[in-house]
Amino acid sequence: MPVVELSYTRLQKLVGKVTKKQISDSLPFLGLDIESENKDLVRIEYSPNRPDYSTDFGIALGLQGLLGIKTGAIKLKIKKSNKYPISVKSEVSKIRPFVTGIVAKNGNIDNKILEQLIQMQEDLHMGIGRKRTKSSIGIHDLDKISFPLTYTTTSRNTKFIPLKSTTENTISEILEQTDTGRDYGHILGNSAKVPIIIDSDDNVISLPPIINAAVTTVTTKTKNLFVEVTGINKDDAEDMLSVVATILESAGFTLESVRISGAKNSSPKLDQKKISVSTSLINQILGLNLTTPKIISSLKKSRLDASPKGKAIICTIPAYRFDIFGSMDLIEEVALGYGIQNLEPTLTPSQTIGQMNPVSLQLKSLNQIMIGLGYLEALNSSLTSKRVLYEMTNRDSSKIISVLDSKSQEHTILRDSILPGLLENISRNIHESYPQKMFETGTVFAIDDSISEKIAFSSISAHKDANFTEIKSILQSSLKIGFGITIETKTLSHPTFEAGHCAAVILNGKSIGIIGKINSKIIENYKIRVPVVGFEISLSESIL
Amino acid sequence: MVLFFGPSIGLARKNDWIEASSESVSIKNLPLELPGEKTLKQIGEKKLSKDEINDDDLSSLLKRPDFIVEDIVKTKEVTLTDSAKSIVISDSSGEIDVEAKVPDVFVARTHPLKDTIDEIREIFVTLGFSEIIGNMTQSSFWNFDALFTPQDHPARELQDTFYLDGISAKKIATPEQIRKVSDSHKKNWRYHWDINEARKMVLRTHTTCVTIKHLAENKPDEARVFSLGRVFRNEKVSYKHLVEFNQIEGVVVGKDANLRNLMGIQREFYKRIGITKIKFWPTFFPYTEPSLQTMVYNERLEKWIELFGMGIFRPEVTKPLGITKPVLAWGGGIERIAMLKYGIDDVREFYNNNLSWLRSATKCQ
Repeated sequence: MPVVELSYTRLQKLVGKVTKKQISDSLPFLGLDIESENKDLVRIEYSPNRPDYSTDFGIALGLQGLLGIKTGAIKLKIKKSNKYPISVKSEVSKIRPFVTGIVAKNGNIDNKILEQLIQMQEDLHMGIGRKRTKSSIGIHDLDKISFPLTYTTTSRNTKFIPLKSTTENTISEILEQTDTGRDYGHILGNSAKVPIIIDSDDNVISLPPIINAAVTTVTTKTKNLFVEVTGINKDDAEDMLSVVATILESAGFTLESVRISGAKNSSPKLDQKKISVSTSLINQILGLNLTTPKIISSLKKSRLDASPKGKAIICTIPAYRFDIFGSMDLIEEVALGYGIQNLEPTLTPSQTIGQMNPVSLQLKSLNQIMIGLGYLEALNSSLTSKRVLYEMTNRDSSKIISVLDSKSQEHTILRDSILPGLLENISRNIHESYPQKMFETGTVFAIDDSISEKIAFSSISAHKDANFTEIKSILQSSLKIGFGITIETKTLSHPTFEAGHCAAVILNGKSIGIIGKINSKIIENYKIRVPVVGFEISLSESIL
Repeated sequence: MVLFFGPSIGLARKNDWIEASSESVSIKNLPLELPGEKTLKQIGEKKLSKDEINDDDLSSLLKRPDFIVEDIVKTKEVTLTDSAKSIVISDSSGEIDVEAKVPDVFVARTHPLKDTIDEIREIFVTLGFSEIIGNMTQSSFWNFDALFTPQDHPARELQDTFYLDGISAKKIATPEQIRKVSDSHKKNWRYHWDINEARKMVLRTHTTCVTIKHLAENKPDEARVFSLGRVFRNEKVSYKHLVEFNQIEGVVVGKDANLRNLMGIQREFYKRIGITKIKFWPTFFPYTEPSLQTMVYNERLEKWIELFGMGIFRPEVTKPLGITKPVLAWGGGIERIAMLKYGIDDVREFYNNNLSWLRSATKCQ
């Protein structure tokens, strides 16, 4: 979840007449989690579906609504202009076909605002921009650009001075030498030509989706901005633009339109959309009995507009709220505006009779039996390591099932057996008193044509007199008393077990597991100083 | 006329101890020792090999319950059990020091985490929920696509989810389910939906895949079901994160399926595990709308802790799968509750199988 750092004092200025406490009490009811607080600073986690909350401007709009200071939808006031044309060449169609943009004028940019804008840009890139693959933004100093602009492609030998640099480099060099070049260069693939935005003086403005040119760098002296969004889908690019436009407007800028044409591109609309939802559905889903005016005022507190139409409510949704797909989303907006704290939980008696799954019941019985036999229940991860599962126990690793890119070396392989984990447990408890007797039931995995899962049961006993008879008695009695099953054992040799002290566990002529004394070499490798006996059987093939 | 038969008469006659006619029995010779007596003396405290013992005696001794232990080793040995060999002779009639310290004995027990799991399972059963189970390995289709999580969503990346190396599901769902789910993705998320992505096998990241599959197969008008089991996240293991943990997830389908009832079920559940100070906050999940999370107050840590998440399945989830009624869903991790219960600050403790802890943790908290 993305995190944004805010200042209470700034928020108070933006929201209007509120106390710090009112703000901190209200934030969670906007769906924002306070991660940490330090005097005036507060770190807030927000949901990636609300990129408008990536700045304090967006959060202030939400707070104003919830606190009833300003309600209703935020309307973008975009002045129509012909001064900012962008022409798109068909060469970009195969790489990054769409560009959109807006001009924002007469704003005051201080360090705080600059910080917020950079933060917003990063979050938009990571979230809805899908790490810049889907869409990406460039924010420029408008006064350093001479329109019209051209969005086209260029060779990798084209030179310009990238952002945060003072020297001119070729695009190839930029892709190799800058951080963003290395991180996002792969989006451009291997094509010889790369997308570029150039102005009427042939200056490079931006190399989407990698980096802007240094010439248009935004500073605290910048008054007027040009924002461009490029992407692989027109609607997604406009969604991203709508967030930036809304934030800039609430930061005090006045918006002017850009005119885009060529290669299936057109000027952005940033229109509101309308969705209708029935009042009875709202009340049914929330378990409330709200009047139409109450529903409408709740929606307005969520910064939407709404009006009644028969038994339905027509909602007007600003462009930046593209997280709203349909009626259920609007019902959530009603709930938020109404106040989650005002929803009283109710409990309706159940019409159904609950029951445990038969598998859980059987396992519970087995647990009781094993505890009666003096065995302690252990729990190990099903995702374990090659060392535990195969190397330490000399088991056959030809049918290994691994996961990709695990962040933990101890969790890379799905277990095909429980016993090795129990052995590992015993080895980590050598300083504890004996006898040590443990058991575990759990899922084991096998791969043939496809992957299969079975439930297995394993027990282990370690003490100075541990012997085959003891562990066979445990297995025999647990199954006989627990489930009325009689098993036999048949001589077997297996690298985990001592020769002559190992047997297959046979049920109805079929092998369901293995039992025996653990090979002394393995015991030695584990530095366990007492003999260890154990077994493992498949429960899926016996009692389940 | 009385007839004397039976194994003991036969044995006595064979050994020439008695004289028996059709009318009477009389003693002829008194035996020097009883059968088996010699063998018993011979075994004594020792462990003997089978061939050192008189065969007849051994087989009759083995018939006596709990008397002779047969050690199944290739070279058979027999030993007397404790009850056979120990004769307790009290050598003092004096009093003992009843106030003296005695050693602790270790109790065999279920795992503390399992106790919490069982407790939670039982609470939901008594609230009218039935338990369903499903696989830990799932196709991406059921773990993600069916839950309206777009294929380019960050949660689906290798760095968050465990993908099985080189394993793809052959049959993931019915053709109709695949078509409708992919249509919903294309329409709402605007991207090229790829069936090969949906085939990739993952270790389930939640148990929701089990419940949604159940609902898609059964399409109930009225239901309360839950699923409980291990789920996986590709995280760095730390005191607060595990790669594998337990989750419970439940759903309610029916006419009473509304948000306040969903909150009511949560409140009732927390009450039963002893948590009464709770509140609800809005939150976001890709597959529910509205979505809430429960915050519970922990006295020991003196702070609010996030526990179960909940919501109503989005129509974008239910409609393509033919589920027409609203579905309430809630769920969360169990280790977190067990940590509160056992006062544990390091979640790894549950899977260390550290005997000193397992042998000393108090069973009922």
